Amino acid sequence: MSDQAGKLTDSAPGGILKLAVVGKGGAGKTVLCTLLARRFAAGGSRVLALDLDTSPGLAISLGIDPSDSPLPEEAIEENKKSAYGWALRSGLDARVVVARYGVPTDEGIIFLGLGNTSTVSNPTKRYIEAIRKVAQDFNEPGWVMVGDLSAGPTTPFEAYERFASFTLVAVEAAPASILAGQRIRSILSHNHSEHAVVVTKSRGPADSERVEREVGEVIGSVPHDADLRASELSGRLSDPRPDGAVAGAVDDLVEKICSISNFGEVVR
Amino acid sequence: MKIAITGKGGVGKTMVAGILARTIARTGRDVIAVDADPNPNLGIALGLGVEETAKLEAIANRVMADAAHSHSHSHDQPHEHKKPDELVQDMAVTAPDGVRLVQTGTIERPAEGCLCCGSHATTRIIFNELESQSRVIVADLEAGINDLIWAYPKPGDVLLVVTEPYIKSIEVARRALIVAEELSLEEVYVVGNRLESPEDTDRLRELLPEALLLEVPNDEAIRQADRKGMSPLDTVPDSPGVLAVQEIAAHILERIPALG
Repeated sequence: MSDQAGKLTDSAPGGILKLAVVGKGGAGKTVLCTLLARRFAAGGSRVLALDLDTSPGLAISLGIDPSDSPLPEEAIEENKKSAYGWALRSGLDARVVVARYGVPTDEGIIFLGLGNTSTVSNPTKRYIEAIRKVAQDFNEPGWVMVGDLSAGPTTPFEAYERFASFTLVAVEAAPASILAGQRIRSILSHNHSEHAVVVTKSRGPADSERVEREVGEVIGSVPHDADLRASELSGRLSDPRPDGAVAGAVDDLVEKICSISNFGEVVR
Repeated sequence: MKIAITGKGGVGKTMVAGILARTIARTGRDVIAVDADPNPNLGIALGLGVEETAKLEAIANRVMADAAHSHSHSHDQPHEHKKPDELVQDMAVTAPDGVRLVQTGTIERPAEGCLCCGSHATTRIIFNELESQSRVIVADLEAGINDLIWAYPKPGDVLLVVTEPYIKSIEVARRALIVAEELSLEEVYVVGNRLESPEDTDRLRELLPEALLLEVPNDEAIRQADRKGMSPLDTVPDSPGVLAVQEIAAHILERIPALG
């Protein structure tokens, strides 16, 4: 992909582009996050990939062993005022957290995820406030942040996407996914969060038209790709073929996002 | 009997729940299907149709509206004014084969109440306090395992952990099994869904070695039903995927003979 990828030149120094991805479970949020993160990294941006999902999908798709990547317990502390009674340890700055606990991928993406000790006594949700705080406070110029949110309307309901300047709603052209997209859009509108729909696993123009008609403005459509799907059997999401439909769709989507967000400039 | 269904988002929990609930109901048992997903769509899988499903009112929303009206809402006792059985009696919608469907909490109107005493607490109360001696409760939980911890099933309950042969969903299943062990659950099954090859089954056995695995083959007809917003029981009742879930229902009923 890197050969074909355009270069991002940061024409808006001082800015960070923060994206959140939401949608029904299985709609393809994590795949979309992974494709975007890699595309921005290939274009020259520094990328922080944040997994705010309590399931460890993003680490796996980026090619990181989820057991190597949790935010450790030492990074959080009890805090009665926090939503789940836990928060980022006081004195820890977002930049320090990223530098200290972020896990780099081969492409140079920095990954940060929730702690993976998901048990009744130490549930993953304890880490949510800490990651949210990092998402809010990390504002390094020239970086792109891609945040993968938990399935369904729960996270928008709790306004997790507020860290982002732009939220992508991943919708597959199937009734359950469309219903979720409608519910999520209504909450995002209420939150005044700028957002648009991305059609996932599209099997043709009819899918995009259906989602646009039933959910709302579509700014991108990522086709179903059997090879990418197959790569998910065992771990790291494979890179799409450079001249293939998925890579082209991601290029177009990145271009649109940059244009909407006034971030950088894609030079083909 | 109570059956909770968990797993990663998109692995087919709701499809399994829908076929399971209706299959059990066809044996003459009283079945309550509990849609515990704040993005509810169990109604679609049960064959109620997309429009009917979208129109359903959730228990938490009603309770919170009542509470707001009477100013009696508190975080400690979110539902003190009504018993779960009364709520189900009042609010359940009858789906095909006589399954009664309730939703614990939807998120349609933002910023009303909080989830801790809305959908999540309602799930715990409905799942644990609903009378289940003479009937079968089938609860379709929210994606991921936080909702499993919220539902807090007890050792006598059945837990189905649904997974695809893909690594991300297997990882969620692995975590769900850890929680199941912590909760001392005894009847725990992994439902391997959309299996395409013997290698898929092998991968599940290798990565979840302790699990009791029940297999459901990949079934394009079920995907088609899903895209049409219909129950595969109504569109393709003899397809391999449907038959496999029906076998799971028979297996569970056999394992737990208390209902006779």
